[in-house]
Amino acid sequence: MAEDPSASAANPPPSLDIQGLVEHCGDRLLRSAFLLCGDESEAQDLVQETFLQALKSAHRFRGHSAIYTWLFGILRNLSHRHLRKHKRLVFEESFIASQVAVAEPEPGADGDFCAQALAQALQQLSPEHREVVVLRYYENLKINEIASCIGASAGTIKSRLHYAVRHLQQVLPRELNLFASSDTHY
Amino acid sequence: MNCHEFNESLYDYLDGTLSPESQQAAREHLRSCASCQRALQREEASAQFLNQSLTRATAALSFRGIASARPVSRRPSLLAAVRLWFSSHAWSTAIVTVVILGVALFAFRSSHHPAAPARAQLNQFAGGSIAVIDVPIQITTHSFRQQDGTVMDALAPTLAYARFP
Repeated sequence: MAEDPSASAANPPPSLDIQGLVEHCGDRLLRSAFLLCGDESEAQDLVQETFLQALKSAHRFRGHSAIYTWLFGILRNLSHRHLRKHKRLVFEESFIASQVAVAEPEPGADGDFCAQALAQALQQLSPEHREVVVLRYYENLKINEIASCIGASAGTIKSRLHYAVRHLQQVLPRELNLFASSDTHY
Repeated sequence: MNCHEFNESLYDYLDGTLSPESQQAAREHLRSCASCQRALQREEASAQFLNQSLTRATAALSFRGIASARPVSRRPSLLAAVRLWFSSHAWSTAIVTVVILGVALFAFRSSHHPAAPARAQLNQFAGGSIAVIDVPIQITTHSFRQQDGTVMDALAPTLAYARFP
């Protein structure tokens, strides 16, 4: 990758090796984008826009974070902007509780079915809860890294994670409550 | 460390971001608390399941590259943009509409009762001057007329001027 984070304005950094970034990060960004927005076509557009934005903002990348984290930050901002523009429905807690929008997998249902059910259930969460699930359980970020990425406190992140997993349990109670007994709660 | 403190620190314990003292205290608590051991195992199992499932749900996806994708920031049609604006500014639109209608109604009523300006004139006398002001007074006249056995009522506002003094 041809960027030089220590370059000054008098000596501008060389342009980003966009092709290298696409090969290295494209698929991973796309998969996160898909989990965030729930639609493959939209995710493809968002990732393209992310790389185009990265090209324009290459001079702002100072190397304080990994390049993928920087790209993900751009993706996240674009996804929020896109969401505000298109006014997606946000399901409230009471609505989730009253609905069985995703068929619960039968015992022994294969992993693919569970995976699809989970991806669908993720879309029932608000964007704020969805993104912490993606960052924690898909991107495998630590709490302080998620807090830094989102700009929220660690306490807020933990609270959102707790809430989100509790609701995902309604869809996949067996898989997400493996060790629960009748007297314990997640 | 008690159970509440352990639950609060569970994520940090798993991330390895607790201070060495807190990490040690958490380990010691786990040795003697079956409930917290179960909570830890549940979180580890859930994390593993979620990671595997999300990975599985997205494994087939592949970025098609920059050239073939459409830009997200498509310009919406004018009609779509107007609809979107009104739908996202419903309350302010309603308030502005009510205000405009109120102003229009006030203006309409005012036009039927024009406020004619007062006419002033300064009369000079030997001993000084007297200002005479003509003040318009609204007089409403009812004229009744009969047509084919039916009484027609007409309301005709007239302006008259009263002279002071």
